[in-house]
Amino acid sequence: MNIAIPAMFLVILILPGIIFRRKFREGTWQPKTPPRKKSIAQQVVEGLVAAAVLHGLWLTLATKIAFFRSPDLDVAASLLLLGSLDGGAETLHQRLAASLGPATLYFLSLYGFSYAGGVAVHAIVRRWRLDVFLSFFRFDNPWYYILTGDRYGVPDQSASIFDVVTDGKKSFRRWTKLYRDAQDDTVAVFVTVQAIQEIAGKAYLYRGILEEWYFAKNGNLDRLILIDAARRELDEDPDAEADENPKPYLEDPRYYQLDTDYCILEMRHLQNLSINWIRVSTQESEG
Amino acid sequence: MSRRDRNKRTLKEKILRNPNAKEKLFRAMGGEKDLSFTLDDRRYSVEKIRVFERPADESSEY
Repeated sequence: MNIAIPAMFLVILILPGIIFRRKFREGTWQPKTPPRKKSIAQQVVEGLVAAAVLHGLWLTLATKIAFFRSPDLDVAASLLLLGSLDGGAETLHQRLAASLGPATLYFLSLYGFSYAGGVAVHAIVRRWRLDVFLSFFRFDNPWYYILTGDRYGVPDQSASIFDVVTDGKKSFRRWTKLYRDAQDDTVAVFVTVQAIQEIAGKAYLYRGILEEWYFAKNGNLDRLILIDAARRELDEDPDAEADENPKPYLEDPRYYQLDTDYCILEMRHLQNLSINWIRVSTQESEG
Repeated sequence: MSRRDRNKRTLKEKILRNPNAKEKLFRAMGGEKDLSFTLDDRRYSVEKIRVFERPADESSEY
């Protein structure tokens, strides 16, 4: 038997796990805020684990459905391990031909199940904000959390399983607050940006409210779109004396408002980026 | 975008269109505290989220 067959069959076997993992990680974020790319080795390992679970689940489920026949596992093992069945290659070919239809149906339906399952599990985790609650569910998408202000963007804010066990009440209370925020139409989080950009040898500090952002094809954050943007020269930072009595934000004379609807900042030109989150809520939603 | 996300976006747009609300937002950005405004007969409070500052009491734990 050709040695390429086991390799090809292995890919077919792992594919459900890779599809599931990919859809689970991406959810509805792609291409708006793509998750960080993983190495092929990581994808394969994670895909293997997920595929094992999915095959177990689908073998159980699929064979319960009337029109499915249980896949011929002996043939699958022979293909994977370059082995042969009792009766030699001819028997293998016969049984392979006989199980081609059911196997095709099995794999195609499993691919669809994996796709839908990945999206569904992602949606459940997001719906219940489990990624906010437990670091185990946290998606590998730091820019998403930071730029949307969801769970306020900070990596170490979700609890580990250990935290939940040792201080479950506090973790649960914190989660219910963040969950309420997410569900409450009268709570909004604004993301504000301060960024330093050098223009003609001078450093300028920009500030504004983040309206939109775009990623480059390589997965790096490319541009930020600010509204109500203002800027000033960085040299005009307050000295120690002035810092004791800082001027209110709007009345700070060092800034001048940019006469534009949208201010576009390209990440490759920024020397520094600061993000803040402003929470607006009704008195009732204060909790 | 879900209905809830749309509602939140609408609220944000309303706040940005309201000069008083917007001013309070900017003041909060500058670090001012105890800010509030009224919009659609609702009283809203504005606060800058301090993630790394441990709250004095657990009611403001974020």
